[in-house]
Amino acid sequence: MNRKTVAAFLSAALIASVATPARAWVAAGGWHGGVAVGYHPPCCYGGAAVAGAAIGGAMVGAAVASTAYRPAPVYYAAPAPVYYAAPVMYAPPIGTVVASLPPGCSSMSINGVSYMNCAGVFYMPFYSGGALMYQVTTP
Amino acid sequence: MTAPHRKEAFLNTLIRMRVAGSIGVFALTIFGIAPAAASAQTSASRPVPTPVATPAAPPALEPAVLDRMKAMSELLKSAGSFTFKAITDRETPSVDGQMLDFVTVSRVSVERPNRVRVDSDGDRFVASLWYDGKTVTIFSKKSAYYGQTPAPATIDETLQMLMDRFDTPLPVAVFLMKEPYARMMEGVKTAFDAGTAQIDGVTCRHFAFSEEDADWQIWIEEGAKPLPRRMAVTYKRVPGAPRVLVALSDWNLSPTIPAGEFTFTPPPGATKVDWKTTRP
Repeated sequence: MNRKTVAAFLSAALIASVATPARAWVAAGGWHGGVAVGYHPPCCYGGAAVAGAAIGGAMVGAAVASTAYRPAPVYYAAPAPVYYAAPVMYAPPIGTVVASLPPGCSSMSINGVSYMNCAGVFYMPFYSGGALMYQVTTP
Repeated sequence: MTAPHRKEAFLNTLIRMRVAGSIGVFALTIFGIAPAAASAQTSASRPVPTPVATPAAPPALEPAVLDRMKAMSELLKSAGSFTFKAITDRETPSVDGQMLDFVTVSRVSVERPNRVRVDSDGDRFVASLWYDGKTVTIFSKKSAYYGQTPAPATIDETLQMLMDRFDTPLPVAVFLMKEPYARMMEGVKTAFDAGTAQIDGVTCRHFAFSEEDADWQIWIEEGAKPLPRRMAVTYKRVPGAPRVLVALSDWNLSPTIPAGEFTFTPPPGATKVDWKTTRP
């Protein structure tokens, strides 16, 4: 098959930064468009643990070769990390991309631009890699 | 040199070439036959184990497999419109070497040559796509946001754009395109028949293909309707060799597609946001 067609099967689903099961994080990058996707544990981990993982993941994701965890994740392209579970408890760094928001957000529009305001943290919605993402920003 | 001389020289050259050709054929015959003749002589002179006849190696691209792939392609091409369901399971390796699976269920409607609708639900890709011949819209029903981009005039160009520039995962794209066979066989180095399999009570033929970066398999229904029922791709160059598995079902090659299926109407209160390209 066309290289790109084959790649599209995998698109936006790759490569990882899972540290421990409790911080079950997957940094999944596309075949060409890197995205780090946090893996929401299937059970047994509370929101706080997940949030912690989100931040930990964010740090690891942002600085790929961080010494915080074991192996450095492999990215196929310079990633804008995407975190599947939202950082709930801590203010995430500007530029962090999440695939889901913490609860209790409200939508707003400032100068014609849409934002989600989650307890004072502003997320800008956008579509990328076949899914809706939110990037932490300053309005 | 006069003209007749030139003609004679030319004829001589031709004759030499023909002789050389005959010698070539003769040499080939010698080399082709020689091993058999030599072994026959050897077994006559001293005892060796009875030679086992080795069947000729099958061709790298088995003709019967290609024929069935063509038949599938022709069937899909013959349908002016069709619908089906795809369940995609993407393996995602973690750095601990543990594989995680993310599953998406998609319902796809196609009307050739320029309309596509995909509704996806699942772990990660929860969004619908509308292509109406002019515009592609992406909308996650979990949100009040949609994205749009101008689209080329055909399904092929539009899907290629979505995959190339928007990094949109479309594992079923090849089935929607104008020439599925040509698309799928591009870069294929080997193709073989791996036997029959039952999928949802239907007998399918299981084919395996290899390419430079990926190996893939397809299961095609036996009989008069050679529909694809399952696909599997192994990314052998990616660490952990993750796989993407696609189960295809609910094929309808003469569907009644509701009016407006391919036209996106923004829900009340929905706002348009950026749809980012990952490549220019």
